[in-house]
Amino acid sequence: MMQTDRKRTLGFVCLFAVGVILLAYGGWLHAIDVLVSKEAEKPTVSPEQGLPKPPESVAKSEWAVVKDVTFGGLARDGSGRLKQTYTGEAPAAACPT
Amino acid sequence: MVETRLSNLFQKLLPHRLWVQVGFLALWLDPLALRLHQVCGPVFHCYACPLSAFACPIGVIAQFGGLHLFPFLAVGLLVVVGGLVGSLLCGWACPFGLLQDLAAKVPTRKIHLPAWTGHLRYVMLVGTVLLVPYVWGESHPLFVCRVCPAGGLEAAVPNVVTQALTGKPIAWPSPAKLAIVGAFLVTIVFIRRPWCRVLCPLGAIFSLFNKVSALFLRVDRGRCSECQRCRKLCPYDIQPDASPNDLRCIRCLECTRCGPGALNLETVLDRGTGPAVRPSGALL
Repeated sequence: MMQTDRKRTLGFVCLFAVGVILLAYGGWLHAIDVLVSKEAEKPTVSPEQGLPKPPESVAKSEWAVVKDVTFGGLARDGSGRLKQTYTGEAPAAACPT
Repeated sequence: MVETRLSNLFQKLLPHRLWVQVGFLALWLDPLALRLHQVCGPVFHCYACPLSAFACPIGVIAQFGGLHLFPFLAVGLLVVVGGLVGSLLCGWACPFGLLQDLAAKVPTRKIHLPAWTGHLRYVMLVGTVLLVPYVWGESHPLFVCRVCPAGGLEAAVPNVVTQALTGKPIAWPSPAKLAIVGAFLVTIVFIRRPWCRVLCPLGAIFSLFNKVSALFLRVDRGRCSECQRCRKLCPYDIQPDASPNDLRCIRCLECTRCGPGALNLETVLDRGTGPAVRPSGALL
């Protein structure tokens, strides 16, 4: 096989492997912590301890985060944490751009 | 030259490439209303379009960048698809490319673009898709989706029409977006595939794989008579005999219609015949 063919085959194999690894990690292993906006805005007080409970975060799959960003459903809050911009099932308005 | 089943298949499909592109619309335009926006599609089609089955990978990459997240799924998809076929989807499956191909059929004098304009795609990619979102976020006016003509045509216009027909208050696109859409619609009549050749960030990504993809074009120097007919057949001013897997190529495969059949589609599983040489005699 020619030198260029060997290079091409090797390049393709490496790239394909990298792509599959990225897809596998993103699809099955990667989870992103997102604050649900209702809990983030209203921290509740624990009556026993008298201390405010931290807002709850949900670990979302990357698939869900991909869907959220298509309609502007995620943003960073003032402290830099990811928060959902909608509540319940109803998404925010159509893509803000 | 090994004439493979793949090259024979594409030779048969080549006269009907436009219909192949139309056929792919059945995939991208979400006829079953599944709205699978958790999955990125490997073509340039706005996810805000009422008829979009999948998410736009460029939009997802930019949005993730704005949130300082790494888009493993979107990047992984582009690497896998690019590694397999390079920019073949640009020429055979992309709905935005189809729109431009249809507009190019309007009988006007076509303007030829200089080769350097192809580099602007990488400026667009690095600037509006990677840098601007990461540094300034989604609200910046140069965020890719805010300047994208696909978003303007496929999403903003249908949404305005829907709002008008249903009596809802109309959310007009920004003047900049309207100007971009207008300029695009005029340009596609006078230049073949101007978006793909000059500004498309997705094409910029796929083209990087042309030199290493599993599927590629090979020039059979034994058959090539150096007639340069392939250069005349190429609608995008590329010299396929000198650079068969050029970064500007969208793999429309029009060059494979050359008389001697010197240009053919092959895969890494096929074997070529003899060393590949340039017309000057130097090895490729």
